[in-house]
Amino acid sequence: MTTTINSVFAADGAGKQEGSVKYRFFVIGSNTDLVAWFGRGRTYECRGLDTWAKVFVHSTGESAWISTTNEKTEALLHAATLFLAAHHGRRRTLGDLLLLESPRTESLPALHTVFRNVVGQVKTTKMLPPEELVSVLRSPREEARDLFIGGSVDPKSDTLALTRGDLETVVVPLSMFRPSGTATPEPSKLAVTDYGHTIRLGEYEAAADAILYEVDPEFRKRQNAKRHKEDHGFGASLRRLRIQRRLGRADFPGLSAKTIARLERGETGKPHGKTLNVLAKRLAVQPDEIESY
Amino acid sequence: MPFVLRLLETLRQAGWKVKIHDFERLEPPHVTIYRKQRKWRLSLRDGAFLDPGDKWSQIDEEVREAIEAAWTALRVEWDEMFPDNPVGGNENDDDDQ
Repeated sequence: MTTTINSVFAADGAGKQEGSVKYRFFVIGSNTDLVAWFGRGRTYECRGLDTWAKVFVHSTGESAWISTTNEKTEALLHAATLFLAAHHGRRRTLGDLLLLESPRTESLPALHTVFRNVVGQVKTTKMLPPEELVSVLRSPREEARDLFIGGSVDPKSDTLALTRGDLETVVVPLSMFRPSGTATPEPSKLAVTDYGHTIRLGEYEAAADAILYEVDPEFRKRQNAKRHKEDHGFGASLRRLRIQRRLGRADFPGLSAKTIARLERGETGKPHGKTLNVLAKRLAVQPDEIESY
Repeated sequence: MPFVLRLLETLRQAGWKVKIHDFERLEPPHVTIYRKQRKWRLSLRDGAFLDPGDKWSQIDEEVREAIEAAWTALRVEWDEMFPDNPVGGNENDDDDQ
């Protein structure tokens, strides 16, 4: 059986010279639209293990493999396992793997051994439309990591797993999405839209940056670094987080609204001990996390 | 349901969108302009861009005109969606000074 693989470089972004390349995509299968959107690079026709091995030699930890069908995933896994075994574990992984069709459950342990991140493992995974998916994946990683390319809902644990454009995944509790005045979230109607800026749950829509601000301390750090000087400090963070939680200043047991107001205006120093614990508990964060918001 | 500003068909086809989502970073109140992977967050309090480096010259003039024409409506929409943090500020906050 012949497997077609298109190898395409994506331009790296900030911090690199223009025109430099770093990330390499391997599109497995003959999905002509996908290949066209990625841009045709070098094409390999894998008819046997020898040609597979030639492709694997070009992969690094910064490679991303995109398998278009379950059949292609099986072929990739078979060849990759033999390749890695022949190299006696000197190659740790072949990079990341994005599956456009969910694989057999039994193949998951092996896939997780061969690849660093495996995305699209469950049938309920919803991905961006192909053209938008390719556009995000080809973006500089600094840009792609703040966009979502897909997600899946686990109704039993009430969680939503969201994959970022750098193929890292974050998990968020569905309870985060409070009904707005005009819509109630419907997790069974998950969709990822707007080039990864929007998570849609039925008619309810969540902004990707609002989700990342809640769950990713590193994202918050980057965002806070952009703020004006007067918006830094414990008081400003407390105010932002209180508003985000939709709490009033009078909603902190044992602390007066005036005390909260003084803290937010920076008129008193950063609280410690009992006061800090009361704030953290009501805001549903760890005490040392408040200042990161 | 998000608030989506009506734009000319030509702007929509070019990928422009202007939205207030149901789930947003609430402070400060803002509207977000999207075009493909790019986004610009615009404060509904003072009309300033929230992220350094963002400016109107990066945005189609007709998108700007649509936003300016709907400025009051955008502020009203925000207040309806997020009454805890209205564009004009929270009166209760001022009482605590």
